[in-house]
Amino acid sequence: MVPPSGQCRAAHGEGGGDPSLEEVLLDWGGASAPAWAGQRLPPSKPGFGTPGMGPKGGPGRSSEPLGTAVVYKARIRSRYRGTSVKAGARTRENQEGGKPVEESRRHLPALGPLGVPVGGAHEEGAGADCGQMEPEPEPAAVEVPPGRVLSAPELFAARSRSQKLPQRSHGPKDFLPDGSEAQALRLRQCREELWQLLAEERVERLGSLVAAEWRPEEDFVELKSPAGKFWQTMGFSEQGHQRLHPEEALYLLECGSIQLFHQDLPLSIQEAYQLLLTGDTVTFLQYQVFSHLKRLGYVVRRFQPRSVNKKAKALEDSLLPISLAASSPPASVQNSQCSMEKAQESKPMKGPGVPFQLLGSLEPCPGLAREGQGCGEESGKAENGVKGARKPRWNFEQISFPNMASDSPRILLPAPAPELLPANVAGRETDAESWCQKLNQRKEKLSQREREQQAVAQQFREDVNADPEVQRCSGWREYKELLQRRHLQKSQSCPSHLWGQPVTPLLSPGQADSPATVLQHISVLQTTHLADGGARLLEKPGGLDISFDVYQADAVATFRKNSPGKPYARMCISGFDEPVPDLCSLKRLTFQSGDVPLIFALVDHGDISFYSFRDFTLPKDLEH
Amino acid sequence: MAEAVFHAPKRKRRVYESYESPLPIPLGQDPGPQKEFRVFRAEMIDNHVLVRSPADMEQLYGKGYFGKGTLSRSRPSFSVSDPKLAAEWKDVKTNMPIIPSEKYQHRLSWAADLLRRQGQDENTVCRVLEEYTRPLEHLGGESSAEGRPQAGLMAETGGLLGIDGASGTMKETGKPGLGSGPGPLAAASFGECTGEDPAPASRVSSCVLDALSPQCGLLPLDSSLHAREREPGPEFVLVEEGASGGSEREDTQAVEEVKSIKLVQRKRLICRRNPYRIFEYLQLSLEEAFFLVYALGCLSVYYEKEPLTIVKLWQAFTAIQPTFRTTYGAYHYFRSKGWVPKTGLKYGTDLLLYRKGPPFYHASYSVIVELVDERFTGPLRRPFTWKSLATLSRVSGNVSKELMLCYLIKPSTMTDEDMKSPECLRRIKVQEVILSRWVSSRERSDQDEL
Repeated sequence: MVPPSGQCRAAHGEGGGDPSLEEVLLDWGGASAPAWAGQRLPPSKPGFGTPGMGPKGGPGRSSEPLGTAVVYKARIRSRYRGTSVKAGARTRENQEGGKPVEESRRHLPALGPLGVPVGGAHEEGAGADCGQMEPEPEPAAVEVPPGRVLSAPELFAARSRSQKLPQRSHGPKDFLPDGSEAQALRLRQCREELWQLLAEERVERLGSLVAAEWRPEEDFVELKSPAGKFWQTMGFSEQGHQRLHPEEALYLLECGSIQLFHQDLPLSIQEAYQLLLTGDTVTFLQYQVFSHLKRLGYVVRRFQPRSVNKKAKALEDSLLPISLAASSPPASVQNSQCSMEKAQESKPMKGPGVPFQLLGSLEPCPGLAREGQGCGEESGKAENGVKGARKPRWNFEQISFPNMASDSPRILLPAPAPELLPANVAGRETDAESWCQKLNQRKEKLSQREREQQAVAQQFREDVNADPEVQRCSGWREYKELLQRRHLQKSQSCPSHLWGQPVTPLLSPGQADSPATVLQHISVLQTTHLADGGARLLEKPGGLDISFDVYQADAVATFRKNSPGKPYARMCISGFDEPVPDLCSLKRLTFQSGDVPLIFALVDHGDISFYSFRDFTLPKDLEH
Repeated sequence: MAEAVFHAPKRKRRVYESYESPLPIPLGQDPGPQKEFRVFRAEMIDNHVLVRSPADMEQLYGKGYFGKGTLSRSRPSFSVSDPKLAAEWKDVKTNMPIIPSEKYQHRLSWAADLLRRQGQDENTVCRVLEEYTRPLEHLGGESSAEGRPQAGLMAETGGLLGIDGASGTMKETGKPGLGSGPGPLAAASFGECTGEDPAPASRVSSCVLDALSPQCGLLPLDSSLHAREREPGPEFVLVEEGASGGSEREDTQAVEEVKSIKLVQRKRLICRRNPYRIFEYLQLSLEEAFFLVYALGCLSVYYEKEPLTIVKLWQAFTAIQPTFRTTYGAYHYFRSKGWVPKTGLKYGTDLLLYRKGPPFYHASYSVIVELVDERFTGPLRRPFTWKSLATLSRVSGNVSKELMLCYLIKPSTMTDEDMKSPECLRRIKVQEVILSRWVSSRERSDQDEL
């Protein structure tokens, strides 16, 4: 509602630099995070993740109310995620402001009523934790009904609880059941520890619980109080309101970061699952993938189809100048001497003669070495502004190339014609003599053996030009035709069942002088790419669609919703039993995804596996 | 970057052969004198393409790794030296295969069985084999240090053992001459009949040769394919036999026996005629055969003495293997990129792609081939479910190969009539797709990937 204050709060939270507080934090991260799941949750990474994620410290504390609602996840996570920090923050505030403490302590019924969804969470949390926890000693056995505001002694008791994770009492695993009493006891103990751990209450500031309202008709959740830290990577603003997509709201609800209302009544998690995931926008599968990725720390946003095209275009635009810049040096190749030094000194040009004159256009022709359409386009945009003539033609009779060989003792390179150079490049006259001396211009000296070899080879070689038929050829084309005729004559010896037929082998005897040419002759199938012709397929939608843009977890700190940048990957979500996308869908989706890898997330009863189909072109292997 | 990254193929740690040439055609860059372009010969037998000439087999397999030996795992190596023996006797310059004595005994027993089945009585069998397998002096085939004395020795022994050999009894089995011989089987004892007559081979009577040669060469399964005129001459082999250090005079026999135990390690190579030849051929897959014919023009495939044209082959192969056009398209495509495709049967796919050849690199890709139409749909050879795809991906990953889906896309204008000629390949486009697993916990951040 009042975004500024929300931001202010977030900023406050992030900046909160109470040193003692930080210490507490680090302690938490270091001690507990690895013990939990052995996951790679770098504790030292600042600003890591959203409320749902990671053992981050300060950032989360002011904004993460950690409601308590979620029995497994929220509680368990809270243990390694900075609950304690919040407590610290609170305490500090209390000290500073001396305000009345306003905390709520809620007890939630354990997962009983929460059906499937919590089951999923259960797997994740409980699977890893089973048997690792010691029942935490509750120093102050203050039983407070959930949701109640704590009194000062209660709060003090809650704060002074041990904040260390209990050690595991019996190793992580028991394997085959041996039916023994001892094993049963051990198991029971483990289970009890787990339940105790899960039942631990979280004490949170009521004020940091963000209230939000579910708007079924619009398929979004609107925040009723300023958003917390999660706003950096989640939600969107519209008409001056802070809003969340259903999947985001549900996730935050599970994390205990928001309290969700519908028709002025708070929603339980189970209700929220039912209400929020039945809309047209998000399916249960999609939510499972969403929350899986969120929990791992990724930033997950809804797929933005428009951003693809915009980006592709932007990419094209940005490519142009680059390629132009890359291709402009060839224009000054002839006077590389000059251009090399021009950076240091920009002497006025004083070239007497201008031998570098082009006959035709004065086009700079950046693509001298290259040919093709790209060249034309680029030169059209050249800074000289010379446009029009698309055919870059050099008249080499008019262009004199400086003789740098050993037989010309003194080499004076005149200044290049300015019109040959890009506008910001200056050329000047150069004497290359000193430079030439640094070159190795000696004649090649052959060893005795090499000379003998050459002499032997000479015996077998015939001078091509001595051949009268070759002499009659007036150009390469005629010469090649001649060679072709000769090949044909030679191939008379080739069996007629191969060469005397309408379909002949791709390679004729004698055509093969190197593996590369052979491969060239027999390469008849063309390669295509996944993105080719994808636009055509967009017209008929249906089937799979891209659901989410995913950004890597370490980009969270710099992530900005209004300019999220290129996603790390895009997600398509599908059930494990659904058909594999055919090439058609693959092409359509790849085209939509642009230059971002497309990943298929397959959900099989809560388990998720990911596969990517990537365009590929096997390189030609010419090194034989 | 949406494109899959190319990972450099992994070299095999041990390479036992040197790389000859990418393709079995003369290439300008090859050292040595310019070789003649040669058209190899293969035959269609029971819908299989076989190459029978040893020279052709060597060329086709050695240059480009086409086909596989019918009796070998890959390179046709049945009729060449046992690799272990070859390494042991690597100083011996010979083109005859070196085989262990046990192997030779087997051949002998098979030959004897064959003769017996022809109704020859035991004496004849024995005599024929004796004559046929007499040790011969191989010229220049042996290191001079050992060659001479050995030949003499064998002649001497022959005289001795021949007597017993003729009777076909098992007396000789304990004799030093057979240090490494098989057990006291009647048939095996023929191995000792090293020829009582030191006369040259020409003295073997013609009837004996007649009796042996037609059958000896036969591969039992496809005897019909032996054209009489192509029957190769008798094959000579070098048999590695244990030999005692001294002579075998009767009076010193006991001593010699003791000696021979000490000298078990001392082995000799003896040149003999192979009494029971088994031929190994090179079998080409249909794709390989067609590639050699159509792309390189260096193979003629004969069917009952008539060479087949390209179009005929295309049709015949399609009839034999209905998906031939699809698989050939992919085969041709990868060959034309300089890779060596071999069958992917062992990994549940259509093709495996090797760089250079199987001896040098591990296969990099495991390929599945599909033909689709312009709308990128079509009846798939192998419709996938996520489950089967996951399986395949896991299998490929475990053997360090990337799973590649190769789609051949034919234009909608291509008719069935067009597809009756391999020229239709020119209009087909190929889409390669790499399928890989994405591990969500591993890709969280770039640093973690270390």
